[in-house]
Amino acid sequence: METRDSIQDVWGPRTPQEAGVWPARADARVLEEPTEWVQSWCVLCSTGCGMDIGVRDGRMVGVRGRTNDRVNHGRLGPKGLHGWEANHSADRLTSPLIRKGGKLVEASWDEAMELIVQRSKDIREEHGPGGIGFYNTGQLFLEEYYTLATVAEAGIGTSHVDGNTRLCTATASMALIESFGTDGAPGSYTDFDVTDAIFMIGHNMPSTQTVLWARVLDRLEGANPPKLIVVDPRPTVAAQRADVHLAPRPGTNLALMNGLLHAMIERGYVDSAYVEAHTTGLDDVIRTTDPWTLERTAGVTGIPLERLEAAVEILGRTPTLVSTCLQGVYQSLQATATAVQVNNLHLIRGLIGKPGSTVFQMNGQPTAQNTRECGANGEFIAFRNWNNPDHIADTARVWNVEPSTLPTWTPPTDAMTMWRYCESGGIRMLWIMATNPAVSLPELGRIHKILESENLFVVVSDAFLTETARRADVVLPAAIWGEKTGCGTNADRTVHISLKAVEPPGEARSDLDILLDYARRMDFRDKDGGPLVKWTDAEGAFEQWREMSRGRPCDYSGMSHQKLIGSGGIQWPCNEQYPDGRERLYEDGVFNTAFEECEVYGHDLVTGGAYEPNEYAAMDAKGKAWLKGAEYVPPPEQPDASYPLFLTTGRVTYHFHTRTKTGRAAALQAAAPEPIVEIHRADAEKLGIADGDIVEVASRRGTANGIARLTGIEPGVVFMPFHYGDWDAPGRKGAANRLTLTGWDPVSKQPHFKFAAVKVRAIGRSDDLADTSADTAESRGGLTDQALGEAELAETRR
Amino acid sequence: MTQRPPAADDGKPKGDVPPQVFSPAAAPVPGEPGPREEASRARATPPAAKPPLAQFLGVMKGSLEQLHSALILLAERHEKDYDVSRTATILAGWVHEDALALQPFIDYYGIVHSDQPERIRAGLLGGVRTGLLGLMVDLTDVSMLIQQVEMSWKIVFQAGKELHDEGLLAVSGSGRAHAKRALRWTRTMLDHAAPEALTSGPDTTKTAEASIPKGPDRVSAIPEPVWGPVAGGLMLAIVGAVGLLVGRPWLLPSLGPSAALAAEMPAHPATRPWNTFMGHVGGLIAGFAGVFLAGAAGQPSVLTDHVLVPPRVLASVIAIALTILIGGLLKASHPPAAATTLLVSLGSIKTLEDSLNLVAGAALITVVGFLFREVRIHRVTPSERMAPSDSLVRRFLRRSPG
Repeated sequence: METRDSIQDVWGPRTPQEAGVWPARADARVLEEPTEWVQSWCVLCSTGCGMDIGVRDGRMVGVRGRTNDRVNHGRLGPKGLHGWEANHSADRLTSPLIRKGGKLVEASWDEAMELIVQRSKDIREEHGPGGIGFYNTGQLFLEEYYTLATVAEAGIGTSHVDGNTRLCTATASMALIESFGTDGAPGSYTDFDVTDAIFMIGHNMPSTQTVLWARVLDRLEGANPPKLIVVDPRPTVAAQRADVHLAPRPGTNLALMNGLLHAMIERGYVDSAYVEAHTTGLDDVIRTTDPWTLERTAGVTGIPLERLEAAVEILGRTPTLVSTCLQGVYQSLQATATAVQVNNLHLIRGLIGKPGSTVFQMNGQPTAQNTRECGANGEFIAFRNWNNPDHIADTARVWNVEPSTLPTWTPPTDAMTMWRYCESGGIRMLWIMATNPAVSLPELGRIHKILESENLFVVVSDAFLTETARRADVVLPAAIWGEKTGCGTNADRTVHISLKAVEPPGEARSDLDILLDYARRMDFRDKDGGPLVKWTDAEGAFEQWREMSRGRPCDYSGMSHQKLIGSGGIQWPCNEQYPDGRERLYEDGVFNTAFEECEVYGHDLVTGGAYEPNEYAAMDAKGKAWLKGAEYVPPPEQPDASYPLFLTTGRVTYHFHTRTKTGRAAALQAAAPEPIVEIHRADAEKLGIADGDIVEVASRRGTANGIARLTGIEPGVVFMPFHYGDWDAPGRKGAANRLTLTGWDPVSKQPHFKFAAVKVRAIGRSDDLADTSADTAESRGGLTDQALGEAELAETRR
Repeated sequence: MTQRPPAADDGKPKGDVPPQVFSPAAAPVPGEPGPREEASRARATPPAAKPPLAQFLGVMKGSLEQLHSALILLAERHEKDYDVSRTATILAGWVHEDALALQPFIDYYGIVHSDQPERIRAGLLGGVRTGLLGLMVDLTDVSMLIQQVEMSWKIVFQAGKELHDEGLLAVSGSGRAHAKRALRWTRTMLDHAAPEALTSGPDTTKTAEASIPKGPDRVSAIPEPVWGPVAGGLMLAIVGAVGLLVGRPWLLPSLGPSAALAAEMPAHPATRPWNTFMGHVGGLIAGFAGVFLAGAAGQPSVLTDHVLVPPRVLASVIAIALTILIGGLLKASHPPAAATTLLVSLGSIKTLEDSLNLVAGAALITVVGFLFREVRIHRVTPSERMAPSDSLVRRFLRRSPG
């Protein structure tokens, strides 16, 4: 039974607001009638939709949206309705594996854990704590990240703790910190319900956050639709719906934002009273945006002048505005600088902290927010400042350790630098949790070499033998969502609980249990000789997390597992002052920028140079938001005669990350079985490429193959989704990250995936592909965004 | 020309890094004359006498040139460390901008060239600099050059105040702000890298390739212990081969030190072609002058007759003093030329033919040394190298809409 076909109709029927309220729509898909419904939420994007898992005879048989949930009001997208099928895949890992004689062979938990513990102790002895690194994810639960941070920072004492959230959310957090003092989304999804204008920058919401887009669609087709401005080089569904579509050349986002800000300042679209009372640094923005007349901006970005004009007039005049940024900003050039200019746009117009006005620095993964909060991704725990002795002492107090033992002498190491240290031999043991860097990182050839290096002991915990796990020395079978209890926080600070619905397969264990076992075997102690990790389950971890977060911006002290059970999601801060959570931050225009409160002392957005504590103290913003400008710098790699096209990578509607789960859900996989290569019709004609041809895309770093899809993408730009490794099709060369380059933002350290110079040539017809599924060859590459958009618009017109 | 001056028409971005000035109103608007142009145009007649500022502008300009080249060297050596190579390249662009902005003031106030910045640079960035430890040492060295630039801008800024030169104040203020930002960056990089660099093992993967392959400038990244001997040997091999080819004894003892200096310290001002050639010619003249003044012409030659007589000693004393004096007067200091001086004063070079052989050898080592020096220290910014003529960068640089 399913309430709707979410594959063909991704966003479902329209449900316009009734009396200002977004009505509920109960989406469900069950294969058998469940005997029990267990509360959870969807972990296949950052929207955070409340859902129940249907259980029968100890197996998952379906899911349904929770209509009382504040995020989705009962709706679920295609990934949510289908993705759970992966839990029962036949190829789940059920036993630990250890590499012996070059092959991974089954082993007992005791054997695997003892090996890991022995290596950890040896390496710590020989190379110090910095010889051990942890590369985690945005897929685990809050309790697991908190335990990881405790083990790594207070137990081992290494600062090499980061995750693939660096690829997805690092810029979101740094941009918020640079402007507002600390991390945390200022607004609420309800702002979409009342806003007069939506500005999406590099955010393909219809594909990546389908339920949130359904919310926007209901506004667009209801009374008083908001104006929609979309920045995207591709003709995405959102772009086709937009009042103004701005398609910049790759690597010119900051030029665009500087141009828009310049015009707004010049035309007086500035709330001077707000700027005066609640911000500092306008002069800096005026200086850096000054050269960016709209004419020059049009020349550099390739966007027609009249579209820029139209965008400025909307942005300058709208009484309320919601902006959202995602990977088109974060994974492109000058990421933090660009995202901060979006914050600046809201600040100079005073459009923040009130209903219908906020900026969403979005997340990619379901619990990316929690890695940031728990200090498992390079931030210091609970949005504290690793450079502030008081904050360090406070952390040490909760853990009951000496402050000097915490690795706070440098900022936490970022992921790309960790991989560099793995390459250079500084890190000898890397523990990878629930993520697949062998597909997701840029310049895969290099990453594969590092993983396969003799000098690096690689531990992988995962549910499947991923491309990464296959290169590990020890593989630990992990219990996943639905098989363990834990909490997660979405992109609008809503906290959900997901309860254990079924038993994990075989001997699989949750990462929490694995970490607790590791801590016990390593015998980590606090300063009084008691065990460092004092909890034995998720609820216990949450209890200490409440203490760790108490009084911090991400205050969970008023929450508990019991309070979350049955709720429709609770936003932090949740404490005595806000027992039911706080919907909007900064309503009073007071930001967390005071010297004692701020999370970081700030950076030069162009170089990444960090301000010293005394410098920050001297210019203390004392609660005013920072307006920080940045000069545009062109990308390091440009198309040339040998590699004449720009490659940009991204996502498709039906897949999440490296398809570890979505590739194992039959309908999702069938909807997008092979990587596509989107190319403009004119470019394709020049290269003799027809729709459906298998094409080879080549960069200076490698080659990848996909099926050509001729669309109205910007001429000179090709697009490839990055999801496709080769676990399900050995020999497939579909990973777009074979092409991307090693490079990252100087402030957030988020890698670049959105520009690389490539060339494309046809190497065959997709009809030649061996028939691996029942669908027709025509649909082998799946629907493009443009086709989806056209179908949807046609639907609307009927 | 041994230094590569910032060419005004090389298409470098003039607007991608707008100079930091004191008020937004003073920022240059693309396509329109900026305050500096106006300032220099307003002063049609230069001051009658070069003020002392002209002397310091030589230091300022030289410091910027050295820093520009050092930043690009840093970027190339540490290409594997993306943030180093990328940001160092951006900073090099700023320095280049600042040098361009300074030019109208040099045109107006005049300039007295100084090799002080080159001397500072020559002591830095040598040795094997690979891996994180090498990066740390290189960053420290580059910081010193940035500091030199920062202080020089400060001095120029103070002069601008005294001269009531608004344009100079704007340019030096902007340049100084760039230098401060560059220093903040190097300090941050050192902060981050130090614990790993100083406590973990050596870099085990020297072979890892950078993401965007280098052009022909790979030679700048060859470690000094390899480059020095190879370059020195090759230089003498070329001079010797030419000598053999034409059948003349053009390979002379005093060319050895010249080759060694060019191989080991290519950035040192003493290895410039002018210094090398004029140094040896000066040494020759000084040697003969010494022999003449000491009356040593008829005395036995020390090296062939194996006797040392007082007139030869006196000739050598006079000659070496004259060599250093001539080197200083001609701004052609070249310590290896002192060997030429002694060849004459000790009686190994006596005739016109001997002298011409030496001049020919000196000319050869000058040309060969120049080539090796250029290959080793000449810098092209990666963006200049990468960007094809019709690329986005070029279009951006031209700032033409569409």
